[in-house]
Amino acid sequence: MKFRPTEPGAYISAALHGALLLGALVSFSDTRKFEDAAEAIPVDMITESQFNEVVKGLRGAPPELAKPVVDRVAEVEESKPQPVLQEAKVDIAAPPPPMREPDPAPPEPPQAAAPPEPAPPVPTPPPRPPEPKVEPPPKPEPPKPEPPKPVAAEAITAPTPPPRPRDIAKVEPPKVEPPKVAPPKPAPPKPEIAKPAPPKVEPKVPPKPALDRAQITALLAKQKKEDEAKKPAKPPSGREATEQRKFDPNSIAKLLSKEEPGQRASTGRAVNQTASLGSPTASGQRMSPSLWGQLDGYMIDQYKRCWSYMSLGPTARFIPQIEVSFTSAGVLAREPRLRNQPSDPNLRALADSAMRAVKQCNPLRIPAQFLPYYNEWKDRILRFDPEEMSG
Amino acid sequence: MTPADAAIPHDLTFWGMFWAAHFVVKTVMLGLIAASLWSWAIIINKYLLYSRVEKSMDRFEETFWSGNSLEELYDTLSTRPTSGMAAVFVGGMREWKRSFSSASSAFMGLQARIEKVLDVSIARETERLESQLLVLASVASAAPFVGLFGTVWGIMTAFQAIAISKNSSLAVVAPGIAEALFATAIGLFAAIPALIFYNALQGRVARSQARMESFADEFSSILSRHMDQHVSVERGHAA
Repeated sequence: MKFRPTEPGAYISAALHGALLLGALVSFSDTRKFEDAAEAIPVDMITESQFNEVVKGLRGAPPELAKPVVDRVAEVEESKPQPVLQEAKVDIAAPPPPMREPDPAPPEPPQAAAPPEPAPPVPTPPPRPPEPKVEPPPKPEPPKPEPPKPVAAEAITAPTPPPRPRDIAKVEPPKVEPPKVAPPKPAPPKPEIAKPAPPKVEPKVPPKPALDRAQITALLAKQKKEDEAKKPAKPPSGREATEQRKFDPNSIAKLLSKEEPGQRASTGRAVNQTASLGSPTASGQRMSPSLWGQLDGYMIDQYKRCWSYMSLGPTARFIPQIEVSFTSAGVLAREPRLRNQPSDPNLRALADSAMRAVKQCNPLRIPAQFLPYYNEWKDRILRFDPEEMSG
Repeated sequence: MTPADAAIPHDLTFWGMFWAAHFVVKTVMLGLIAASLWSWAIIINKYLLYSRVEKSMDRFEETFWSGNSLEELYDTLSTRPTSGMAAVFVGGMREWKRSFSSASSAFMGLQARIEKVLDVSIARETERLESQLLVLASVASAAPFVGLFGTVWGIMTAFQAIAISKNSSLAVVAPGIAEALFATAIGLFAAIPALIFYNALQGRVARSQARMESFADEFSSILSRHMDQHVSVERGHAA
């Protein structure tokens, strides 16, 4: 393209575009970032009672909710039988470990278990010299021996695994006896009956020595056999227990946690996401209309008794309204206040009588069932209607 | 070109956006930039041409109405290339002189011939002025669509990339769309001046044409007066 002085448009245009492009490159190269705007957080205003409703736990929580919160199932390695085995006496068959109930209590150290000796209920009693020591307790406590009897009967027909450790504390003394006593005596149906117990206990103690050893040994053997059949895996002797006690570096590695400390969650037998006595979804309870009706009934009833007012013929209709606030015990939290002060002196008498009634009934009896809803009834307005009173 | 910011994965400068674009979008952008270049060249050339033409018209009209002899004016103008009104005048005068220099019996259709010649020279001059203005018109009407095509294509590919990466956060979507919109921006950048200047130049061409036509009418009336005088003189001679 030949340059013609009359048509310089192409060159001027190219120059302009080049300049514009350069300008754009410069201006676009420092495109600024948007400022990081802080996000607005919506805020709700709630009343105190709404807040209480939110944070209040579940009142009627079923007992299983009372368990501690567990995020993760515990490792199975932390089994309990090991310590039990290690100190067991060589002669004695290892007591079967507690089988059910996720009891947070640590396994009873054998030394503690040994003196009472009840954990293996059947096998121990006869050969033991300390037995008499154990026996006396039942005597002073007559009602106790009674309950185990049905259990004992069961134990003979179908030996059950030893009860939970918690129960042992209560029932243990009688349990020593059952195999001997149960056969001669049919148990009374109700274990709760306390009175007939004492005479029964007396005869029980003498017969025990009378029981022949053969019977006991037979029972023992039977029980032992069944126990062994039930858990053959358990090493019965103390030797293996000592082997297990040996230092094992692998087990140390097993015990060490590989998790970060922050990741550790509370562990347990079963996962339980529910906090004790609360639920993630439930809110506090509200009084139902029928509960309101009941409460009103209680209050009207009491105030009627306290209120004495003699109407002197038909007057202008006036209902004194008194603002009161209660403590949770039903006591007036502050001085009651008349909301509508009457101008008529005749009516003032009525208002005064109402105020008197409120003060007279001061510790208002409010049944315990309304306590959970205290927030809802703590401030009330009482209306004293003379017509209703006379009616 | 510009120091690439390490924190931003996509270079959001003009250059970066251009190089990151798809091949089709790149072609569209280059075409649009070329169209913009061309239309600006035309605009500048036409502006210069029109101002030149208008100035020469003014000068010619001044000399034409100054009362000098048309023969002298013709002699001075016919020796060099002329444009605009002067070209029209030269065309008409040439036809007039040719008719007189040849046989004397050529008066019969002289008026019609001169008007034809004037019309033709006006048309030629107008065409010269108007040439390439249609390019501006086509750029003005087509560039937005071409840019839109580039944008649609770019967004299409951007969405395909998003679908593949399975991430739809704005940081992923934004660069592709910015690149695509860049094409439309260039299209509008080319189209808007083209449209504005097309209308402006078109108006100036129409004005120049009207001026030439009015001059042609006046010139032809002058020539016809001369003709009539000539005829009456000849008749006087004859009588």
